Amino acid sequence: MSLKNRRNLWHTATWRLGLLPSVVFAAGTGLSLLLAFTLVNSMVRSRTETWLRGESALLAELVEDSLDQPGGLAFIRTQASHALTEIDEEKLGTGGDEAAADTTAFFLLTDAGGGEKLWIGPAGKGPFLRALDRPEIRSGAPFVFRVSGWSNRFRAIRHLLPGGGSVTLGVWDLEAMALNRRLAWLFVWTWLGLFILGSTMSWLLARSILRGVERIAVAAESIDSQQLDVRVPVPRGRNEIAFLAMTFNRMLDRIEASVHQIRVMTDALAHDLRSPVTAIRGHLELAATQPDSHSRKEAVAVALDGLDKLLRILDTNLDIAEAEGGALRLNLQDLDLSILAGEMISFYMPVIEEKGLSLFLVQAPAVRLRADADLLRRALANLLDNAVRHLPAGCRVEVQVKQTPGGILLTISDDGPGFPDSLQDHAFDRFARGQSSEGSGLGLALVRAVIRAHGGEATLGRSVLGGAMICLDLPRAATA
Amino acid sequence: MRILLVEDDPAIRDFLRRALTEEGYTLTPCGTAEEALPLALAQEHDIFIVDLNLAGMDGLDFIQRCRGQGITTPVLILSARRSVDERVQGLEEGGDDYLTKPFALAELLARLRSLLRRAGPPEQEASTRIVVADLEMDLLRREARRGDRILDLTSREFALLEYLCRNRNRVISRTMILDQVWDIRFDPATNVVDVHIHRLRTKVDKDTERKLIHTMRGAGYVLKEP
Repeated sequence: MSLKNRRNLWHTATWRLGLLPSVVFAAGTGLSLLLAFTLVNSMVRSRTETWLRGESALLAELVEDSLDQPGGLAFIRTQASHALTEIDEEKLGTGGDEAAADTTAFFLLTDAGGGEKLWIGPAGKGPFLRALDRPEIRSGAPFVFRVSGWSNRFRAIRHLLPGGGSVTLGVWDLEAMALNRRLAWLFVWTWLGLFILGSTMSWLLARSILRGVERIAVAAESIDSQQLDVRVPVPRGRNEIAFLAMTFNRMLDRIEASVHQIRVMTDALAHDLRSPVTAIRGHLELAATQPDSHSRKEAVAVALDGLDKLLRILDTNLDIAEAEGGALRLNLQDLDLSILAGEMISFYMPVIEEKGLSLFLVQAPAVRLRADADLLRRALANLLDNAVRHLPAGCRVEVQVKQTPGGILLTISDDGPGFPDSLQDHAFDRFARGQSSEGSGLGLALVRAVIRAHGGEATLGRSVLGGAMICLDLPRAATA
Repeated sequence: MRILLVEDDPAIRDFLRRALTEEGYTLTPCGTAEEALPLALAQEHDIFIVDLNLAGMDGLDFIQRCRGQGITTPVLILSARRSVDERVQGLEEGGDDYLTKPFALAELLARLRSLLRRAGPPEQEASTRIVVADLEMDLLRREARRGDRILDLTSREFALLEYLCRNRNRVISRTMILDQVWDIRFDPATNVVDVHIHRLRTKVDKDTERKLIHTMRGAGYVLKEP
């Protein structure tokens, strides 16, 4: 997927990362606002009802005491009007056209037959009286009812009088409704504001984090085999993106190193093949033009030797590649490394002696391990080849085989000139060789590949004899 | 001896035709397995040399078809595939021997001989004495003498001499010597074999004009009567 495609908003991680917290946040604030709204709503209602209860009980008592006395009705009217004014004053400015009316509360006194005795309230009492003519209304319990011509419900309480008749006190519920509406608006706006703020912030945050990822992607896009030196900018701080960038850069380091190694190797291989091929070609050309049959044979023979050498280089390279690539199937068998080393040394003894070297084998008895005998022989042969090739006459070589807590250790050390400094760090790399070396630079690389294929490791050591030392650590049973 | 060769590379076909004809074999070269199959089923050949990488029918298929038809003619596989797995597979699927390219002619000839020997009538009782000119080897007593001089040989030198004697008059490559005498299947970077041969030669051919061990430069060694 190209970067462009990923820009499709819906599919961006930024969008999703921003969206999810926003949704959760919105749901959370919405729920708590709803809760607050319900709470306030019920508080307002209970406040109204408390007032109604108290006032109506008071008025009922008043009616009972003074109705039968002279001027009682006028006294009741004054008291009730007073109470209604009080409530009207309290809900100042509760909007709506109806608020223009003198009052939105009412007081009704009826006689035993249900007929109106006293009405104080909004003009046009007819609809009220019709709505309130309901004998099933319980005494002392708040109830709500609608009046035609009024947009909102009324809330009221009725008290039945002991001597028949009833007192009803009610208020228009507009006040509570308006409060509710106002609250609802407030809450919706708050919720919207919070939602926009929250989602913007989480989106910005997600984007600032993911921009780091995008930068890595852009850098990755610009990397190809020709340009491996590109590195991703590492953001400040120690967050996951910085960690990702660092990991990514380390991976690039490794890839660059191995590509570099491959280049060095192909160059070296091409170089190594050129000279023997040139020599072989020369000798064969010589043979073709040589009149004398003996010199012709000689030239062909030299060419054949050259070809053998060439083949050895190719084969060894393939073997190392196989071993390093883990494609080597080990033919494991139980063997005694002391015996195997002894055999290889006696095989090499004539060359070692001819070269004027002395070799000592220091071995523990019965150093048993499970390994591939052919490959170990080959590794040992390469080490001995190296000794024969590079040591000046008179040098002393010591091969030691011993058990260690972790497995088996084979060392070969000498009192020769040792490895040149330039080789110290990469003696086991392919095509690593000293300036004056005529070797292929593959011997130690194969040794390491073989030892590693067995789950061991080959390292350079510090020889007590003063020269070079190579240590082969092997596990008792190959882990391959 | 008639040999059926299945090899798609004309250069190798040509080279083998010349080399094997010179050795006295009659060679029928084929470029594909399809072409070779009827010839193989006619059972007119003593040995098949089969390349594994063929266009069309694969070398292994060819061998399996032959074996499926009850043909028991020995098969020498030639292949550029050199991994142990492929070698094992080649041998398991009916091949009798396996030689990787590139190979030394001497080695191919040696392997052909040994395959033909195995396929032919059983050899007479392996002799306990080998005589080449005035060189005598007593295999039971592990003793070798040249004329009346007893040779002082190490056990490996004895084995090397025995191998050369058994293959007298034939060129033996270093690879074959390494494999047969030391059980080593790689080519050391130093001339270890040459030094061993040199040592053996100073013991065998010392103080005599009649040299037995000869170097064939570029090919290997041969032990032959002077």
